[in-house]
Amino acid sequence: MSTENENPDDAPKKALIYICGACQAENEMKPKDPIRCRECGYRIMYKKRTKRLVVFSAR
Amino acid sequence: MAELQDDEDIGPSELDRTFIFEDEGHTLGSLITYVLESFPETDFCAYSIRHPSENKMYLRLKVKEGNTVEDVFKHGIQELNKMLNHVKKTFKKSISAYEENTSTA
Amino acid sequence: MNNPIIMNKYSIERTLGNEVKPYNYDEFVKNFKVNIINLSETDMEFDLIGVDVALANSLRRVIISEVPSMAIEKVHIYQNTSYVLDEILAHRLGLIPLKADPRQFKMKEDENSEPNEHDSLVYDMKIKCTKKDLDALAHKQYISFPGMILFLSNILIYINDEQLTFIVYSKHIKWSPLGNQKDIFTEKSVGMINDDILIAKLRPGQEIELKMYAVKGIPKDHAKFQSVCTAWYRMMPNIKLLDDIKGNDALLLQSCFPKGVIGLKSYKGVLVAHVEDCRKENSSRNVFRYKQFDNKILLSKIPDHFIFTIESIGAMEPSSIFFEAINIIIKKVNNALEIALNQTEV
Repeated sequence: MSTENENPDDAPKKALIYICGACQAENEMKPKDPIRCRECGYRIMYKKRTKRLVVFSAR
Repeated sequence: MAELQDDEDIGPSELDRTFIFEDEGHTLGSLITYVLESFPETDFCAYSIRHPSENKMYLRLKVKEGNTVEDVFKHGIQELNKMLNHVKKTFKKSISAYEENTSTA
Repeated sequence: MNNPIIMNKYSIERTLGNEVKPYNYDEFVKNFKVNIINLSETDMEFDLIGVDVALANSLRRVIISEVPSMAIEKVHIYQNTSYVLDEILAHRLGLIPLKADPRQFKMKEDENSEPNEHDSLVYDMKIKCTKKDLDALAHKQYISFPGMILFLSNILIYINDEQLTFIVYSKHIKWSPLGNQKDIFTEKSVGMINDDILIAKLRPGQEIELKMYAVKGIPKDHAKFQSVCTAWYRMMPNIKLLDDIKGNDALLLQSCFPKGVIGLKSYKGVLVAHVEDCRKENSSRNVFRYKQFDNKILLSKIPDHFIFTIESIGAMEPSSIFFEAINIIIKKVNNALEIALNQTEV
């Protein structure tokens, strides 16, 4: 807890991609941005799946 | 890859033996049995797959007095090789004959 | 021919003890014949005459379960936001037939080894459904992109829904050469056989990005490695008319068989039936329904005449599949000898 309070700006404010619940538009959002879709103004946003590699056997 | 337990009372013999083939089935079994059965030296020849979850094929070969199991088996394989190569040759000929026919017609 | 299998009304009759003709090489060479009936790029029908069922069935079994082919084995999924689950998507991709000729590749020895140009093929797919794509799609269909007319009617909603979907087909999969593969192969020689296989449907904003690794395998291991759709044989049918069949009965007899089996000739104004082509007979045994044909017709099968059909998927010609099968059997037989001789030493 205390370490987090000491350097709040240490981690760069990374933009993450969120998908709008209404129009499916992709929004880049930083931690302090308002939670709102830029396309349609809808306030429910979903996080996008990461591009992490997953391997499957085709069986 | 040893003799079967059932055969142990008789003891390993030059006249009667059960071979075990792993990862084989009816494909090989019926073919070998068919050829071995027709030899005059063979007394008895049959194959079985004892259990579907056991991936093995058992082939029993019994030969008449004066022969050995190995020799008869070897002879059977030679005959099969001859037969299969003949099938291959004939098929090749038929294919080229057919292709010639259709290209000229 | 000396021991036909006779088909009765309710039974099949065969001379017991004589089903298997003893094998003799010279006899075999004398009697064995192959007639090619029909040969195309994917289908082949031929007659195998003078062989035992043991050989015919071994060939069929090997063609179906042991002739190798190439198929997608590993799928690396980087992104998949479609409604199709990762596992299901991977499974669907595995079943897509590939044009690659399996004879040009080696079997992968170690499943986990790095894929190389001799044993693997790599394919890529990167697709995203954007509004722009859908606009273009809609424009192509001469219907303007919707939105406002959505509420007009159910039918319109349906049409709009279709337009909001991007369909991913197998043609969207692209081959990417490994090592020196681009000098040997082309997209056409190793790509997809069919380019209209449905893989997934995407809604706006959804995307799929993946990499696929195809390897060589045998259908015993998984059905996706099959090189044939199917392969089968049937015995040559034979029809014998034991008595003259005339007039209306002749017409009735003709209707009991598929077209072309029974021919009619007119003698002095009376129609007389004769057997025209036995091959087309399909063993329906319809003749036995009628009393007037009792003891007049003999239906039988020639036990050493097989009508063999091979339907290739398209990667290999059907005749090559047959050769591969024979080579596999020869290898099997010689391998069996080695195993058997080793067993005697124990």
